[in-house]
Formats: sequence, C-alpha cells, structure tokens
Amino acid sequence: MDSNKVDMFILSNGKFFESNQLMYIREQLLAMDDSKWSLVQTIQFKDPTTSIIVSILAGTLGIDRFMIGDTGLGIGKLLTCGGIGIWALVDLFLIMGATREKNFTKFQQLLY
Amino acid sequence: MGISRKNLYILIMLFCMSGYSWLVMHLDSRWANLVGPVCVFKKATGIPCPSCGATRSMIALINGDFLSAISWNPIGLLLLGGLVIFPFWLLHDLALKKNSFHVFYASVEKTLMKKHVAWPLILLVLLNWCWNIYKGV
Repeated sequence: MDSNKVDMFILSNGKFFESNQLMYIREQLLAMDDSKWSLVQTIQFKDPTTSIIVSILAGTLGIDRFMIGDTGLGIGKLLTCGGIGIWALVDLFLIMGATREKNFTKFQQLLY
Repeated sequence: MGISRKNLYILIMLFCMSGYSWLVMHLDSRWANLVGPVCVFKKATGIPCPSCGATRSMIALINGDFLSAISWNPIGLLLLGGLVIFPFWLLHDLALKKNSFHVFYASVEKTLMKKHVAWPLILLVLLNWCWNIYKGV
C-alpha cells in the first residue's frame, strides 16, 4: 500500500493503539493489498479516553468492561460491586491498555 | 477473541480466594463491623448499587435462611453458587489438563452478546436494582 496512505492512517488512528504496536501495524499496512484500503478506513476503533471516563463514572457497575466487549468480566464486576471497589480501582489503570489491546485484535482480524 | 485460558483461570482463582476470605471475615460480626459497608457507589450517591446486600444474602444463606437470603439480594445466591462450583471446576480442568471452563466462559460470553438474551437480563438487573433502592439495602 502507498506509504502516504499508511502514514495518514497512523496519524489519525495512532491514539487507539499501544506505541509498540504502531510499527507492526505500519509494516502490515505497507504489505497490504490496495484493495483493502477502503475496508481499513471504515473500521471503528474504541477510544481509550472514553473508556477511562466510563470507568471513572460507572466502573463499579462494570459498564467499562461491557463497553469494550469483555462481557464476562463486566458481569463479574457488576455482581460484586466492582470487586468490592478494589477491582474497579485497578481497572482505572488497566482499562486504557485493555481498550488498545481490543483495537489491535480488531485490526489483526482484518488481516486474515 | 477473548481472555486467554491462563489469565482466566488465575483471575477466577483470585476471585474465589478473595470471595472466601471476604465471607469468612463477615461470618464474625466483630470483623464485619470493623470493615463496614465498602460500596463506593453507595458512598458516593447515597443509593444502593445493584449488588448491595449480596454479602448479607450469602451470610443468610450459609446460616440456612433461604428466604431472607433472597430478600436481601438474589445476586448473593448466584455469587455463592459460583464460589462453590468454580473452584472444583477449575481443579478438575487443571488436574485433567482440559479447558472445559474456558470453553464454557467463551460460549456464555458469546450467548450474552445476542440481543434477545442480553435485554431481558439487563431488565432483570435493573428491576433488582429498583427493588434494592426500594428496600433501602
């Protein structure tokens, strides 16, 4: 794929991924066929900033985990009042990384 | 694509261990009074969260009082059921090197994503929550 397009993608979607994943994503995109470009452009990624705001506001209800697609963990959090508050506190630090990880998985699914 | 088998099993084991220590702590009323209510949601807003009263429900169930266990919070029954079943399931999996619990977890997650399963459950949790607020747990 054209490196201009790839750089554009990295610029606009860089915040959705971990910094160490960006190089891999760049290489994958460069090696990708041009016909997939429209598909790549249309993927919707989850914003880590949104998930941390949700985590602060409704972390004890597990809404943040439901939002990024971890339904099982969300139920665990909901039923135990955010793991007696401790899990909700820990998740404030983990949720952004978890969201980026989910985005990366979504991107990888596109490759195959 | 969900959580890996190893992470899931570690998480569930941690969950069960902390659940049991929490329960043992609350069986003795002196300890329970020392800790007091811990719900962040209740402290912040003044209204009980959907799972408030689950500990009291479990304690009531352990003491054999089924009706008051339900009236405290039906979620307590679910949690105690999980606490009793999951450790044995995990040990069975670990001993026989199987992954039946992981498969079960993934299939439950997949089922819950379906709209006709998710909405009734959400409604049920909301109703339970309303009941909780009404009771003033």
